[in-house]
Amino acid sequence: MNSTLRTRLLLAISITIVVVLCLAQSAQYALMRRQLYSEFDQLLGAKVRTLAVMMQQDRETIDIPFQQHPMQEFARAVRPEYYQVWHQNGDVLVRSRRLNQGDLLRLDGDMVVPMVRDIVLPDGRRGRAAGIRFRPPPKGLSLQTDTTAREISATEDDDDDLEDRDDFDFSRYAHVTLVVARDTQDVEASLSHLMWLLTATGVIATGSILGILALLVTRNLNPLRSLARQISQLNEQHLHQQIRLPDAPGELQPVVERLNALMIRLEAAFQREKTFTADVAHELRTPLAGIRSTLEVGLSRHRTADSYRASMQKCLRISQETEAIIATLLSLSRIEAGQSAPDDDIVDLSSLLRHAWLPFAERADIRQLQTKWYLQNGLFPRTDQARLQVAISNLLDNATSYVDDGGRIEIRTCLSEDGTQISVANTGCFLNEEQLNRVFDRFWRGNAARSETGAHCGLGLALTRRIVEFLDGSIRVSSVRGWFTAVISLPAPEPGLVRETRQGLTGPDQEPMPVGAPAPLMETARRRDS
Amino acid sequence: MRILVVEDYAPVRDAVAQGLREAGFAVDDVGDGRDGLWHATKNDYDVIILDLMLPGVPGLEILRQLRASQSDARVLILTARDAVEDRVEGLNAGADDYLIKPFAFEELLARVQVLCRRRYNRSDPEIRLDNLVINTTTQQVSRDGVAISLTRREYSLLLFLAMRAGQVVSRTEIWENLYEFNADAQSNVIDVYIRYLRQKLERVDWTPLIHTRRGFGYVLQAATNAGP
Repeated sequence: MNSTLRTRLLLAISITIVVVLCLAQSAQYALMRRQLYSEFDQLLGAKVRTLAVMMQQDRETIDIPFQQHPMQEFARAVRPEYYQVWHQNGDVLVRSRRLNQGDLLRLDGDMVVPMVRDIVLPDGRRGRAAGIRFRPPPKGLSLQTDTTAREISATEDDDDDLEDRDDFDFSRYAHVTLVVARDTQDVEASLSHLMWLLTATGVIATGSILGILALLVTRNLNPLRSLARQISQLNEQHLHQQIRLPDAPGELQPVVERLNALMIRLEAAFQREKTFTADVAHELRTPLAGIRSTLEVGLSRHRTADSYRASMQKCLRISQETEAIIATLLSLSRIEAGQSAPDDDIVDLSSLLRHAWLPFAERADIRQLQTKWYLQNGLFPRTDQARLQVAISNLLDNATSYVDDGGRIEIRTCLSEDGTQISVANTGCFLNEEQLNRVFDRFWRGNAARSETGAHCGLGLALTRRIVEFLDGSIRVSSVRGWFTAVISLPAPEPGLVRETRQGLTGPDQEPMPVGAPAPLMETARRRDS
Repeated sequence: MRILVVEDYAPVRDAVAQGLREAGFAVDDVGDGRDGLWHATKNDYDVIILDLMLPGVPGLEILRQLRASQSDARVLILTARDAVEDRVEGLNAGADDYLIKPFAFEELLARVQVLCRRRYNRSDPEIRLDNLVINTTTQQVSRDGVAISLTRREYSLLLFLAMRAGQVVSRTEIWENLYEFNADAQSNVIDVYIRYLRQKLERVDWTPLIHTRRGFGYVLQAATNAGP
């Protein structure tokens, strides 16, 4: 059942209260009933004993004084009480007049604890009867106190020789059974009154408790409702709004805090997406503006065929640049979406670097760059070759683009505790702390002009970082005394895969490099002359 | 009319500069914020076309420094940033116009011409002086209903004189407004152009318009003053 928390709480609490109250009141009723009947029985018992004390016997007759002078309660017409006396031989010695010829239940209780039973009185009323069987004392010897009675009853249970203790031969005297009965109407009335009282108080108590509970539960659930209302008002435009529950109970505080933290993260994510979309629009608009203005100015008047050709070539180049930007964006978003798992290749790092360098060799020549290679032998990290090549190409591209003319580039690989490290450093780059923190932002280009090759739309390092993270590695950058260094750390290779090879490293243009046998690092410095 | 284009994206910069030169403007173009700031504050431009996202010095910073230096060059911001807040920020920083990339070159040209006219407090695209009519939109010049064909440089010279009709302008001023920053022409070439222009604009039955003020320069005006 999809009921509200309030309903569930109220239902559970009311059922508990009703059950507990019913049980308590039933117990109370039962106790009271027992108490009342016990008092009733004591009174009845006392009466039986009183009557019994009045009886005496001699050898032939049993003197029953209340027979001649019946007491008022046995004689009255309304709600009379009854008595009956049996001789031990079963003869009814006497019965109260109101019994007519009817019999009471014969109950042979003893003097101390009369036997008491529920009976139906001859006139149909419900009542109780108490009976004792005793031996009325001979005339002149009264049967008196409780202690005497107890003595007598005790002697009755004992051996006969003890009975002769006081020179009486009790065995010569007969036993009689006296039963007195009276109705329980008063007790029943009291009980019924009590029943009503208990029921009424129970109902009133239950009702008022439930009312107060409903009020309390509703009031205490208010923060929940307020929370639900605030959550329902949230949408992506209002993510900056925080949920406020000043009167929230302790249990809700963590929920509110987590929700608010989630909202902050969501807002940041939305903001990133918005910025990214704006950046993409900007980056795609700019080349579009280039194509359009080139074409429009070209068409604005008659020109020579060469001039048209130049314009068309320019437009073609811009289109290719735009294509490159879109391809980069796509690979970035594919990696961010985590569409495909990385391959698990054993990569020959030196050979990979050599291949990645080829497209930039010409640029390095033109800009008269001095390139130094420090490659450690035998590095075969286990990673995704194609993606790693893209990441390394980006670093080489950056280095060859942002280095100063005639500057230096250093490429090194080594195996450290953190794993395989690939570092690309170039001179001519002075970035401050704030700029360093931004180099991984998408579309951030620092102070560099938008290049005409289009490769530097400010996505390179962002993409590189995504790729390296995708490969479970990390990348860090530093800028010290004009050297900009980017270091990729790949997870440590399995020990078996680190092999010492003497295969030899080759430089960017595949000339054999001298192998520095004792040294772990190998240096190859080449001066590029244009 | 002298124009500065500050734009880091070469295809746009080249196309805009070429188109404006062909429209008769003297255009300096730079691709870097620092160069842009130097040019903008050191030279007197009629219109500056400014990109916002520039390496070196951002476009808005150039604009602020330009306005702080009391320059009355008209500034048109040309950017891909199209958000309302960007436009408002640009205009509030002192820009006279805002155009979003990609743009139609004709529109850019028309806006630049409007800004040029506004610089000389003119709103009519046609400049009339005696029976001379210069249509700054179509760049057609006629006198007494007779169309006069001018070269690009001649037209630029005439426009410059016409915008300052009645004022004496020196050779240096003319030269600075006709030639780009790194042009290697010399200022006495102005006299040659003035002669060409006079030959085309003046006939025996028309009143002379271009007057020489010896020692000062030239002035374009309808009435002949018996000046020195």
